[in-house]
Amino acid sequence: MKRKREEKGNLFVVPAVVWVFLFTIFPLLYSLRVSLSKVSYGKILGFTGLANYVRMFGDYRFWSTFRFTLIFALISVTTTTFLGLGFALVFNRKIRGIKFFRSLLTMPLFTAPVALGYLGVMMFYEENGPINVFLKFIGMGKVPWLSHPWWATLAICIVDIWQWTPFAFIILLAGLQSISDEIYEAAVIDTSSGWAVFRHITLPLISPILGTVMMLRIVDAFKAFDIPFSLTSGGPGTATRTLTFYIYTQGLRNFDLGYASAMAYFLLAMTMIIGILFFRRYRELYE
Amino acid sequence: MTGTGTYDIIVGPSWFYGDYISNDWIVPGENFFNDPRMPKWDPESILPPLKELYTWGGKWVGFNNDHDGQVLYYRRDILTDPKWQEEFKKETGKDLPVPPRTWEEVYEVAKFFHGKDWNGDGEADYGITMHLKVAGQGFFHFMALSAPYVVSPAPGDDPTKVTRYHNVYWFDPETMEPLVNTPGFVEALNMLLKLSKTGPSAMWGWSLGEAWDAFLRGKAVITFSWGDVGSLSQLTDRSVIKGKLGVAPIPGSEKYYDLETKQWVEKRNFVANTVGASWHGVISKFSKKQDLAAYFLSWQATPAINHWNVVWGWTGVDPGTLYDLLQPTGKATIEEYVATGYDAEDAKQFVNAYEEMWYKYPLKQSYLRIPGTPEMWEVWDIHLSEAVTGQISPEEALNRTAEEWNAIIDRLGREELKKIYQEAIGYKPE
Repeated sequence: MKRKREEKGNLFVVPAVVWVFLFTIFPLLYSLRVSLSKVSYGKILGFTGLANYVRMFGDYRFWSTFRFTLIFALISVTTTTFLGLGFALVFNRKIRGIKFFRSLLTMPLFTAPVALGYLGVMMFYEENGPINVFLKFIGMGKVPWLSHPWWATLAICIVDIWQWTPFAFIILLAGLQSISDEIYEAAVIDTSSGWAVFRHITLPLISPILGTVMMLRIVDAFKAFDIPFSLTSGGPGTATRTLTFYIYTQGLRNFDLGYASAMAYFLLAMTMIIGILFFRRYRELYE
Repeated sequence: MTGTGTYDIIVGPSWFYGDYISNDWIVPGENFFNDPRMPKWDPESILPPLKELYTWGGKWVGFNNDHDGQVLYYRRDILTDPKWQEEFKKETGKDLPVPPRTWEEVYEVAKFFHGKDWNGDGEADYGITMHLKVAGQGFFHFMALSAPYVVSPAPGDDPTKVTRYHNVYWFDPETMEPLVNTPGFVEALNMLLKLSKTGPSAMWGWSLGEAWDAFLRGKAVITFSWGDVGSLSQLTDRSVIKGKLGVAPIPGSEKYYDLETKQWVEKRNFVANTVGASWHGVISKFSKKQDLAAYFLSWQATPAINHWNVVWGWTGVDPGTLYDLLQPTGKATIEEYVATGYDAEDAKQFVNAYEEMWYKYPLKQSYLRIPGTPEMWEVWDIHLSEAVTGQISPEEALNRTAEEWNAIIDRLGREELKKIYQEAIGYKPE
């Protein structure tokens, strides 16, 4: 009787198992097969072994887009986390109109990245966009935001930071609010230094949340596509082309799905390795 | 991975013909031309260089729709103004060429006007405006600009004959070795760089819209682009240049590089272009309703619809048939264009520029119709952008392009592509 009930209970797990097989395991295995094949216009023409992977390691554009992805991830993740933490500390106190400002600060998070990219095209418009008009007003020269490799990189990072700082802010604010006031009251007895309280009380207590925020941001930054696509089209040249953008170009513009899948696997592996290394180091530091 | 046969019709850009043909995906449109049930349109009305985009191996494949090619637009009111003509003469010692006929003349005019307040708005204005952003279709500019430096006439009675060295633009038809880094292309890219400095530096990051807008707002004295600029210039809600538009066929060059003698020839050279997509429909071989598909495309190709699309302009369909050209060469009247809102002189300039380029230019630029074309153009686009923004030199940009094109050709199969390329450009090995 008990066994029958257990068997019936197992049936409830079936939808979840089917879901995982259909939408995770199958695509993963299928794309692995595609990455080991020659594909033309969606048709698998034959098994090519590791040819797509060998081609990838010899493709200088693959390396240049990977390098840009790393630079972008480093700048964006570091800045969003710092700014998010800063804003969270500022807003974790009783200030008049705090609810309004909190809501205002989180708005970019709810906007589609591609829309922010196109908004960026207008904001960074070099001839008479608002940013350059303002810079001109304060006596600075015209900045070639979208036509110079270095400035275009900065423009992409600014838009991404603008969008994702609220994410770090919301999560870290929740973390700060979960710390009991009693701990701070006890700390004040030992020290009057705000920095010491932050360093020895606040930071260790929110470190698990900080780690989660950084990890999620790293994964997201490695997948960045919409903003470079809509703001700079990956240019000038390929100066702001991310690896995901390159994968899209090869797979869905040039219809070379075999090569695109090989690069997608590399990206997956890189993200997982970075994630594992990050968490391992993080545990060493704070456990 | 959805399989084939889902769609009856492919309305695509002309560069996919190589894929259509080599994969045996489509049925020739001419199979239906004599079917009495089909609405009638005249394939012979499509102008000569455009015909090639609709045919393969002498057979009609596609159905008439769009007709792309770049021409030169300029401010007629400014270039014919005696005040500016006098100043130009004073500054350069030459007469202001109206219209500029070669890229060298375009450069001189654009350089002269760039930075001057020639529209009287109190601000410095531009010489030229172009769309040079990567993925902003800037490589089409370079195609049109480079053609007269690269395409050379064949010796003998027929200058239009396609030989290994003459009337070729993309590859050596015997070896499929890219020509993109030959001296003609290098000269042309240097010209593009010079021209890009006679307009706002922002245009290195501009797509079509921004480049057109600068010309339509009256900020640039010259641009070169597709027929869309001609029709958009007549929309007074976005254009201040209605009634001031000058249009000329795409400029030629003062010299060209002969691939056979490996020498520059100091002689003017003019080459008609059909750069762009020339979007049009073809019928899928897997369609179960081929008759119905042919009926629909034939109906869209009839003068009643296609010419209507052209004269109204905002449809994006550009002139390219005898129905669109003005009498006596064509069948249209100026009144037809005026009735849709064109200024009479603007319309005359616009349509006649296409007539001159596609009827009177001695040579034409071949169109790339082989598998792998989108990938090759994307590679080219990237390296051109790198060169224009100073990341690499023109020579390096073109060498890198050639190197990557060779890799693509080897990957897709050099011999197969060679056969398709030879068919596409009408080359017969001797």
